[in-house]
Amino acid sequence: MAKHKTGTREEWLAARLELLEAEKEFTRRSDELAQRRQELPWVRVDKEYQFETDEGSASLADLFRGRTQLLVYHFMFGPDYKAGCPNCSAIADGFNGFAVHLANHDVMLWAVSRAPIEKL
Amino acid sequence: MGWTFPWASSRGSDFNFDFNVSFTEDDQRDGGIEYNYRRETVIEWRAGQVGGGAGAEAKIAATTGTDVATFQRDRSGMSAFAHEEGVIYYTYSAYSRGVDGLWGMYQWLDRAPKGRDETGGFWLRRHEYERKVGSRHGRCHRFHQRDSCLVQSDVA
Repeated sequence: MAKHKTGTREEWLAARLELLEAEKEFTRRSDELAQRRQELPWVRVDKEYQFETDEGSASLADLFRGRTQLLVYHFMFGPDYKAGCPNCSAIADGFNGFAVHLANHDVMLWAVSRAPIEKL
Repeated sequence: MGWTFPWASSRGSDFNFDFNVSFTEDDQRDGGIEYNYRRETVIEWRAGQVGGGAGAEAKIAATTGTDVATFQRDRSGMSAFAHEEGVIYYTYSAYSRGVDGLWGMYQWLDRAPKGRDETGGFWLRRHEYERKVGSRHGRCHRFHQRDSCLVQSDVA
């Protein structure tokens, strides 16, 4: 017997429908949070940042690659690391798959780390 | 790692420091750093969290070939920017558990019978898992199991 509480399919459905209400509430609240993120004031960036990429030196503006939005994943790979952080690597496994969809949706997604480009 | 997303080095620029994901040795010595919008001392980080304690921290630092202090000088998170009419704007950042939602695998695990089930260990890089036929756990998620699972040469 499973150590977890068990029940009939009918009991499960009743509990599931109760949970569904909580999930729907969470989804609505999550939508509201996303809206509030978009309402934050924008802060002008005047500082010049220089990056090294596979295609050579790039400015922050260059990282947009013609899009109007840029998302940066701050990947933990310090200058003295021999390999990137494993957790960041697992997260990167995820966005590696959908970055192309974002790029075709006016959003460039980059990983940025302090390690030299030869290590990345 | 076989990834195709673009990856830039910010070496020599203030970028990581200005967006609060890199810190200097002086920052660490001067009584702690400010990460995720709060001050913390180096030792506090991860204490009590998954695989908590300084010993666990040393083990995860070792997976990057560094010691704890060096490992902790860089942190993770995300930042967002907009480019409009020739001007760049900074719009958003999130750190620490603020990026839980970006870890797509967590969203699946939250719907699995045992949830995230992370008691006592951490994730490996995708090529570091040893395929164990018949193993109850697909990953070697406990430290005492980990040594026999990690392909040691992969870190270097």
